[in-house]
Amino acid sequence: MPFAAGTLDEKSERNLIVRARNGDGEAFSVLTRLYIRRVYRAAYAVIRNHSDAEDIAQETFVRAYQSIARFDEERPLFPWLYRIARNLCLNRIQRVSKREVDMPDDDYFPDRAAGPEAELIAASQREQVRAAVAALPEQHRTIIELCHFQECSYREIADILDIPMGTVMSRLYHARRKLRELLDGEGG
Amino acid sequence: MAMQEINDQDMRLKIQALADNELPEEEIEPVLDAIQGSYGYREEYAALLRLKRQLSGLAVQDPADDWVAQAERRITRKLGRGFGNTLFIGSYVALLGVAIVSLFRDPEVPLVVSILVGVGVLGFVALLATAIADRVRESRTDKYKGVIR
Repeated sequence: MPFAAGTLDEKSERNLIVRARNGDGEAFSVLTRLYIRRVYRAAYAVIRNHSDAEDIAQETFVRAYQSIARFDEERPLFPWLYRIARNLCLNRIQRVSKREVDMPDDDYFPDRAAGPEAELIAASQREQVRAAVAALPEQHRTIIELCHFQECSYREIADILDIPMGTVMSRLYHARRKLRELLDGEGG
Repeated sequence: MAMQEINDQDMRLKIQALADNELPEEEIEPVLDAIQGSYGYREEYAALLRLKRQLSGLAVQDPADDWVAQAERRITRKLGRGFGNTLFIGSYVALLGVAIVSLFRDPEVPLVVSILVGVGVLGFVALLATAIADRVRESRTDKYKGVIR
């Protein structure tokens, strides 16, 4: 089963993990470069602050390097990094008493090529989609977030949620179905 | 397995896997044939692609490329600092141990000094043991037990 877009195939990733575990700093650097953006996005989805998300992304790799000897290279790396990042976020939230919010709401890419009217329409459509995702039951919202915003593969989602691949597929199917219903209901 | 044996729900899951680029290579062609041969499956596939496009509009902005390079340097520095701290504290504790043992072995050191140092060491060990015990007790009742500190 393929890994998520923009990442390595399983064999190459495993090879890099084994090398990093044996003290190869360059191999760990390659893994860092490959995953730091995804880890940043995962952190941002929880903490909702760029500066904190950047700090947490860096700290995640420091923790990962310190614990990589205990990591099972047969498993995909991202779910492990995701869990470390999420836990660091929860720690930080606990410290500063911020509430966790599920969806990003203020960081869209403005389309500079489009005119203000087109951008207004696009913004309104994004708002509709965001509201529809927010209205999903938690189980569905989580899988949509992992698949679409964290760009996780089915295998990575299965690992993060600790469910079989078949369940990932059917849960994702039902979540999307529900989301489409919500969007059709709103947009007509 | 022949395509006609696959039930409708399975086919829809395969179409979803195709849209997500998760379908094994050998299954792509038969699923494409099924999409081509059925209006319902074509609709399903198109709706999936539409939804994916809509959701891509909610993507979080990635950090800039130069941030990645900076982050890598900071991670290396943090790791270096951690390694330095470990070496420093380790060597400090080892030195302290050697000094205490030498002190006890030296016959010229007055007995009262040995006793005071021994009491100090015992006190330190008691404090350490209490702190560890407190930490263990806290972790047993901690609702954030899985959270890495």
